[in-house]
Amino acid sequence: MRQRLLLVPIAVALLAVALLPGLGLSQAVDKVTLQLKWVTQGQFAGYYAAKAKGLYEAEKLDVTIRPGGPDIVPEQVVAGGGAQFGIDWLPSLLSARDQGAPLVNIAQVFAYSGMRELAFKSSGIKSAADLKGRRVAVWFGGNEFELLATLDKHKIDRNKDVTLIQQPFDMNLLLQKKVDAAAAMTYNEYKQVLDSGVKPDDLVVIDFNKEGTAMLEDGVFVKGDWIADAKNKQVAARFLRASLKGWELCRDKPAECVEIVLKESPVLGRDHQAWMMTEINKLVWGPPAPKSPLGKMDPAAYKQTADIALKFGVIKKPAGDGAYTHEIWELAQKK
Amino acid sequence: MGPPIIELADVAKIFESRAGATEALRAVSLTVQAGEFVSVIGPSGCGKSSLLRIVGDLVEPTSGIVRVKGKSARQARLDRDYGIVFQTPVLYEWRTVLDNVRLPLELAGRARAERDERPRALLRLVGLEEFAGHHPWQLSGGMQQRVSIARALALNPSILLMDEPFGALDEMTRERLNQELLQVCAETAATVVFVTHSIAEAVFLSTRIVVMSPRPGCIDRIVTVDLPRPRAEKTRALPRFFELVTEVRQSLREDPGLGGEPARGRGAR
Amino acid sequence: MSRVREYAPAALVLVAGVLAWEAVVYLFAIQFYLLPAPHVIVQSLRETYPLLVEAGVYTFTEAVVGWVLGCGGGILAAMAASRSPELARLVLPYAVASASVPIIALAPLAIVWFGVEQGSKIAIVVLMTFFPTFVSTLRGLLSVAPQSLELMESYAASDQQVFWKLRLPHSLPMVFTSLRACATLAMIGAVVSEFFGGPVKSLGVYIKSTASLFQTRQAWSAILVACALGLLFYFAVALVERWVMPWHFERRER
Repeated sequence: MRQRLLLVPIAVALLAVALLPGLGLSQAVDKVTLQLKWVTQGQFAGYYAAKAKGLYEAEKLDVTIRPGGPDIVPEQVVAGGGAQFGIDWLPSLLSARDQGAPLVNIAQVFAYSGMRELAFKSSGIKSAADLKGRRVAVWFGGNEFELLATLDKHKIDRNKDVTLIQQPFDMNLLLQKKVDAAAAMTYNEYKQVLDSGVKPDDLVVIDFNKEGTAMLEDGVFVKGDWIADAKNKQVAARFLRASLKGWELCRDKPAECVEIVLKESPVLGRDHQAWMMTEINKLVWGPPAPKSPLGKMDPAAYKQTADIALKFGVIKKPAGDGAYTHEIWELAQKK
Repeated sequence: MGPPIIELADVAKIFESRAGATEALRAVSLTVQAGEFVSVIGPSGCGKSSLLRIVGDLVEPTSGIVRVKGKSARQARLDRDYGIVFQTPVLYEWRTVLDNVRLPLELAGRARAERDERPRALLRLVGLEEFAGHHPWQLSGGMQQRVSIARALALNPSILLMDEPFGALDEMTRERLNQELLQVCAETAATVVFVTHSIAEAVFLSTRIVVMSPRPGCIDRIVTVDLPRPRAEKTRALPRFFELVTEVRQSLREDPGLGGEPARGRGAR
Repeated sequence: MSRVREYAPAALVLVAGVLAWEAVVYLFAIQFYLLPAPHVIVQSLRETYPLLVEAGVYTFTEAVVGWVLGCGGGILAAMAASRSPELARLVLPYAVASASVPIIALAPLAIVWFGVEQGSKIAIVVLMTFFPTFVSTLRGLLSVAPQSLELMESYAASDQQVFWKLRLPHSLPMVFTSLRACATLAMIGAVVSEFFGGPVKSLGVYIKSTASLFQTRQAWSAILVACALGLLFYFAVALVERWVMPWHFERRER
């Protein structure tokens, strides 16, 4: 009889242990997913470093990093619930918001734009103004607006004064001289062009940052209604804290981060990933050093991007400040 | 009597295949006079279709001599001396009935006037003039075969080769077509070599019946049909008709492979 | 009147389908960027009409030119191959195998070889339409019944006569079946190969860029245009088929 009575406290204890995680009293691990903008490469080294070095684990986060690709739209994945966090360029985010998707930028990681428009010196193009009357290639699907803004700045009508071509994800069009100018990321396609035997002296590089038509690129965004929940705010802050630490690591120990990325995907090779790491660090840290600390959205830069987006029909309504929030960043700074 | 219109001397045919060699015909000798109606009857596989095709130069004999109208079988074919009717009508569905009958005239490059008038005349002959503009699938099996016969007569050939033409039709249609065929033959005075499975049909139509033995096919005996001409429905009721049918049937049954008595007229082998 | 009765059920299904779509979007409050409702797509179509027409013509031209070259080439090649059945039997397995190469692998290569404009898309369409037409036509030419050939032989027909009066007419139903199927393939091939790079004023590029910008209404309206053009092409070919082979349809209708 007494032995049976003993079962009661044992049952209660078991029940409590089973229910505790639900009560939030114990520190259980939160599972989250991050959707990248592109395939596994140095462009996302900070996040891979944070995972490899146990930074997410220290924040009690179990992070699944999902590589992107040509037909993956991070906004769609996050809006559809396939991931909690997404990386994408600000114009894409603004466009998604304009269509009604409730997404919010919680951190702007890249301060500078890595996109360039390249041309061979031999084509006679010396600067952006010379693009008039030429065949100009650029990736569409959200990447074309810096170029369009630049064309507009130099009073080149995009329908009449220039032939715009949708660029495939390789540099063959430029290398085969089928177009006069083509888009390239400093950290990726530019290297591909150099690797094919072209010397930097042979090229003219149109830099949108210098033209004043640059738009903000890689940032972290989440679903607005997800982050309205207090618990999720904490999860997001922990994620950001670890991620930003990861980026600091990649600034201080780039070689180590290159190895981490290579381990995830050896496809591009050490040489290419090392180049990428160097260039990405420039976009995150400068020189010149960005006005805003790592991850905190610079309102002036935001406004520039939002204005260009409105001007070129990326968005139909003005963007407003609801597109980004400093709240999570500030939460991440505590500790 | 005149020279024979078809002569076969010691014709043999062996078919080579992966399964080995099949002897279809052995030492077949036969002469056919102009104007005759010769039926070839025998069990399945006795080579009667092959025999017909050898006469028509559609199959080459392994050995033996074939002469058609005094020429080689090949020359006779190239000269378009015969018309052929198969068991299936083999009409082209993209052509009208009239155009199907016109086909041989086109192939032979006949003059425009003839190409236009003769098909109609032939359809009249087989009683299908009003269906000239129809397509083959709109006609019954029996009617399609009549078209096929009209087509075979397009170039007014001296010889008609027919390979079980009524085999796919029902008994009544077959008997009716038998009668029609005889009328057509009377008008055109063609020589006919007619392969069949039906004993009654053979007796009704023919002047002579060639009975073949099973594989390897050789001529078992030749039965002369001495029924009065022209043949009519009442011919089928004559006692002589039944006698001849019995004679042919017995001939077909007397097959050494079946354990019966050796047939008459086989000769030394 | 009977023609109307023939098509009425299909039309009703279409209307019912559109209404059901509209209802589902409304009842389940599906977001615009996931699946727009039909009336929204039509609205977007009316707004961007001139651009879509221009892009549609551009892409449609690729489809038609590619179809003409691919199917025409396939028919001619089959006619040549039919002269030698042994050669045909040798070439056929390779023809079938090469038709299974996925376009996705070839589209970027086509751009490298033929440039980023219509040439590369036409090349892809030619590839997609050549082999089915070649195989169908060859089969049609060679599948003539032996007795039909014996009939021709009995009339001492020349090879030319056998070809023009027997093989060719016999193969027409199979050729046209392939031509109709290739009409839809051609449009698909043109649009999909444009995904890999092309001028802005083409349907494929438009669909891809609007889709990735979350502008799903616009993307869907372009998809609608692509579908409409594909159907138009199909029915045009079917109409020609009816005109060329009236006997075939009468037979089917029995």
